[in-house]
Amino acid sequence: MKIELIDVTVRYGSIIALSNCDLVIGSDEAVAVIGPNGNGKSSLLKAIAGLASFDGHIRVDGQEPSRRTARSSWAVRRGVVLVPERRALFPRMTVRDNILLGCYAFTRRLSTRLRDQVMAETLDLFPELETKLNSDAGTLSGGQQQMVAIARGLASRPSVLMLDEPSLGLAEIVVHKLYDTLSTLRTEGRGLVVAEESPVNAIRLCDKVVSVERGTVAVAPAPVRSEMIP
Amino acid sequence: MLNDLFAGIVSGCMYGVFGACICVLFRVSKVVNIAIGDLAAFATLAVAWFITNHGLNVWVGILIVLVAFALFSYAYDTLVTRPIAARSSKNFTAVMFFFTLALSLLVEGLGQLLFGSEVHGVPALWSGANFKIGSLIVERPAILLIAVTVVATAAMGAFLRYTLIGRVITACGQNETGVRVVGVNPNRIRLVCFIGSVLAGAMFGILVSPLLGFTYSSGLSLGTLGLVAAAFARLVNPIRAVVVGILIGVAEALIGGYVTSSYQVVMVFGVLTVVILARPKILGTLGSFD
Amino acid sequence: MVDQRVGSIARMEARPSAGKDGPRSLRDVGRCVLLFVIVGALFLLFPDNFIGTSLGLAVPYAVVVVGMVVQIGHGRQLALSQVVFMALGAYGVAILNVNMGIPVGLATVVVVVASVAVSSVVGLVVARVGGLAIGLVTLFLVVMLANSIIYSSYLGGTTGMGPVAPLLSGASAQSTQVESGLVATAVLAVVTLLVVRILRDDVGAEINLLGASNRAASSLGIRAGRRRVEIFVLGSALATLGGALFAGLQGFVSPTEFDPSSELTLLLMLFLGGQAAIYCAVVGPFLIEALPGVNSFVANNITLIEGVLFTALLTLLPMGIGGLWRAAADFVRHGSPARAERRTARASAHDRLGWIVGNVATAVGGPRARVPASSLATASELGFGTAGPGAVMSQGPEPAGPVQAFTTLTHTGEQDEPGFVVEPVAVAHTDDSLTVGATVSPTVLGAREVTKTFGGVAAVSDVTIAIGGRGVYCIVGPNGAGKSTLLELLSGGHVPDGGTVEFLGRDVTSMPAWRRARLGMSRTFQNVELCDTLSPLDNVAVGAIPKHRGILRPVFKSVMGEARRQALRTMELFDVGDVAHLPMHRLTLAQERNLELSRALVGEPQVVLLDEPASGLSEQQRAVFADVLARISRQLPVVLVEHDLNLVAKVAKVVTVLVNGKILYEGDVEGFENDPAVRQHLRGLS
Repeated sequence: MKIELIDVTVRYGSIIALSNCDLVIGSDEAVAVIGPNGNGKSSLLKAIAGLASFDGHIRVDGQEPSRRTARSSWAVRRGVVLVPERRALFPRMTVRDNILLGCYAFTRRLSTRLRDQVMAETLDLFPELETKLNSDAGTLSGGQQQMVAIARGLASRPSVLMLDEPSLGLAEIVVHKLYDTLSTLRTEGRGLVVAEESPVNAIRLCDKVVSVERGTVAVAPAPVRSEMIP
Repeated sequence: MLNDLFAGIVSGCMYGVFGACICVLFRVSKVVNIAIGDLAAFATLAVAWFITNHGLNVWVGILIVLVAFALFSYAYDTLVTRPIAARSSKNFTAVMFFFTLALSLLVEGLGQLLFGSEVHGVPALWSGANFKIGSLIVERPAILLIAVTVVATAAMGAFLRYTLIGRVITACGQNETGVRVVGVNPNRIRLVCFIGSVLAGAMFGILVSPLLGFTYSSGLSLGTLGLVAAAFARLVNPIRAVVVGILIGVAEALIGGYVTSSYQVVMVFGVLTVVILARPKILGTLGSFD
Repeated sequence: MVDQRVGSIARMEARPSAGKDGPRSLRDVGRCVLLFVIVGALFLLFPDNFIGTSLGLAVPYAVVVVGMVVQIGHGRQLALSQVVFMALGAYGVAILNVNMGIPVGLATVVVVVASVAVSSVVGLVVARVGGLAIGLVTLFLVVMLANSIIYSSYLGGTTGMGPVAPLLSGASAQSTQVESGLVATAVLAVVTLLVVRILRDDVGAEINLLGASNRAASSLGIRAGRRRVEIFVLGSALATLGGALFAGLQGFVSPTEFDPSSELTLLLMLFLGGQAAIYCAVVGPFLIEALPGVNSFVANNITLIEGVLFTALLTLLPMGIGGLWRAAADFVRHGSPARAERRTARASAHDRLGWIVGNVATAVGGPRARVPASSLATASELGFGTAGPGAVMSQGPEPAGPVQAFTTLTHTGEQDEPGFVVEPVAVAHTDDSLTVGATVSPTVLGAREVTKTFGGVAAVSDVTIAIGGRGVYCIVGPNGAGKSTLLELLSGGHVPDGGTVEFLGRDVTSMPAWRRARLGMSRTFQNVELCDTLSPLDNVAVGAIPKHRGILRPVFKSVMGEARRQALRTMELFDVGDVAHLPMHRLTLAQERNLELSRALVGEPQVVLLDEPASGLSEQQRAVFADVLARISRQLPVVLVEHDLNLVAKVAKVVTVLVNGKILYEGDVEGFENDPAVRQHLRGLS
């Protein structure tokens, strides 16, 4: 599966967040998107996910949604799932419900089998959530919320999972655990796109680096070595 | 005494159902629709008009009115709610509240213009002799009403709690970005819920009108009591709204029958005032400042 | 020479200056006079057609709307009981005049006084609840009233009471109408002037902040509960006054005027005119009262027309007609945004000029030497470079003795204020040396064995922490460790279940947040809590105003000019001076945080508590912020709750680590970095 960005520009009013971006992301790749805050990283991910409007073309496997379809729904159905900045969980719903909502990507019915399967997969990856399944998501700590957000994204069965600033507001030890989890996902063969401001962790994980500075995108040739980090 | 109680339950069902409609809509879109009572009254007047002036069968009249209401709701959502949602997210609930207030005036005014100021009612959908249980006289429309209330409310509660779409509806009101990343189109869901809540309110008004009768201006006070019931349900829980609504109706009837009939309204609202002031937490975050 | 810093809570007293208030106040008076002239002229010109009669209804309603502007428009207090207090005014005057023969003027006074008494009692109960609850409860009061009056034969039942004597009797019925109308208009003009003066000054800013954030207001020393009652009383008293005028103008009082739909009509009137510009308060009522006179269709279908009008207005003109007026006035006054920015630069240049003058005066000596109020050190001392056009950095002489917080007497065109003399209430504290005549407290702020439980879980248990002299005291720990709870215990947001909290040598364990703030504690919040209806400058100025003034004080004395000057100075120190007059929504997160910081520091607190102030900032911005922290901490103790351990390592004097509500480590930064338990819990290194 391939995501192609062709001459993509994202504007918020008169401010240009991302300009003329050309990029190809394969579902077998792990891509780190780095750059200072407010320079376009989020806009890039949001445009791909269909949460921000843009000029240009974004195609998944050569296709684009029709005008009438909501782009965000279309992207999710195609297997491109975003774990948004600051988690965007449903604070007054249980952790279990938060995660199960991810299934909306491919079904309208929650059979018992499906429910059990999703929860088993979640606990496999995040055993610490076991005691929290019936708690409201808003009562969890930042690190736990991040786990729930990732679990929700995974419940949508993505081919490419995008994470926007996953380590924002998290303590160091939690960030380490988070990236361990992402490595595990990587070895399972999922495509990853991780946007981070402090690039250290992301670059160690990924094999392609996209740097976004003032809305302009530059791709670093693979393989990436640590000396190339600014 | 039993008859008073029963009458109270009937009007309580009405307050409760309006409250439930307000709750479901708020739950999905953070819109408080105080015009629901007026819309129900208008629907009743319209059906009655079709029956008396055009000799239509009651079911046909209901169908026409419901279709018209669905179209109207679609138009209102597209022309008013969506642009406002896109414009401002900060005071959205407050702004939409004023809009629904304006809508209530509009619907009332239109009702007065088209249907005059007499009382109208739709003939009972389940007619026949009254039942008698001891000293209690039970009319068939009343049974139908209560049955529909119980069934519909329970179904709605179960739907919201146990189905995936029900969860989606709840989630839409809690985080816009969150529902988008799971593939939901929140605008579509909200539109459906808006149309649904309006049609439910309208249908309910039609069901209750054989017992109560509506004029063009009956709606606002009913809508307000519906809002009160909804407020006690923190504006999100339809089952609780119905329960509170019934309690209000019963209290109203008992006070009216036993304490005083002229100051009935005063006492009912006095009780409600005391309850809220004593325990503002009962309204959840709606009662606090931050 | 003892290096001292004197933290001071300044009490400002206006020194009466020769003559009247400055130009700003004159403008307000002028506008109110203009209002009187325009409306009065309409009364004189159209005495017997529908314009005159509509005005006769509109002016009393306008008085009510003015009160609603304060309550609902600024204070966001959704009290919907105006109709109840209007009824008090109208029926009260009717009873006193018709049944007891008391003249209308005196009856009005009696009724307003009674209203203040009644609304104080009601307000004490009702203003404690917020949000939708107060709207519902006040609406209930309206319903109860409407359903009581019709059953009271003393009040005339459904028919009503009358005839009430007119406000001013004239030779004929027509001239009586006109003269009464003029009296009512005069009252409206005066009332408008009073309210404008209140809203423009410190109390107005307090009201706005209170409506936006209860917590922020309390953290600055605003006594939220009392202010809310004051707001409620003001709105209700004005509603009563409107009701009294109504009775005097109409001559007859009936219950249909005071039912829930009238309340809704009042809301519509507020929306149409007064919400955005208080001088337009009469526009809404006039339009609505005049509508039925347009033609008979409108008169018969007034509800429908109102519905259509309201919907159209909400869609097209959300700020009401007053908003149009306001936008036009803004454009005329400020022109394009570029002009507004130039004005700001000019104003700050004037301020700096005054600052130099003040320093020169100090050098020359003299009993009323004036030195900049901000004892946070001069800009040059803090090492800030030239800040842009108009910036003048000079080497002011270092004050040799205790720095007294005097203020500069600066006339900067707009901000003309009477001269001020500041009397500091000085509390000197140093790190470890005694100062003659000063109170010394080795621990400025401390908690001793405090415990706080929520729902059976101890968020904080048995924690002891002491904050002494200058420097940064960091509290770190994983999420859910109790950091925020501890901060709330220190600042007054929560009362501990066990243990004590001490501030400046006093036991403040159960002291509310606002009182601690007035003693000299200030804080910022994790989610920036600023007021979107105030300018950035005013947001900071709220930190500098005296908080104890009654709601009517601004009518007589204005203190906002001085507060704004102090605010601007502080804002410049934090590099946000140039956003002073921008609309709030244009600020970046970093600017907002600096603004909140300025607000916390402008009042010269003894200690400042910062709650994750760097969250959301980029690496670069954090580096700048670390510098800012370092400079602040040279002047006063800073308590910092933070996640970012690098930032902590850079600035901390003492680090306290909280895990699961208990203290894991307390000590200096080196120890913190090397302690094995800390390394394991926080950094995941072993």
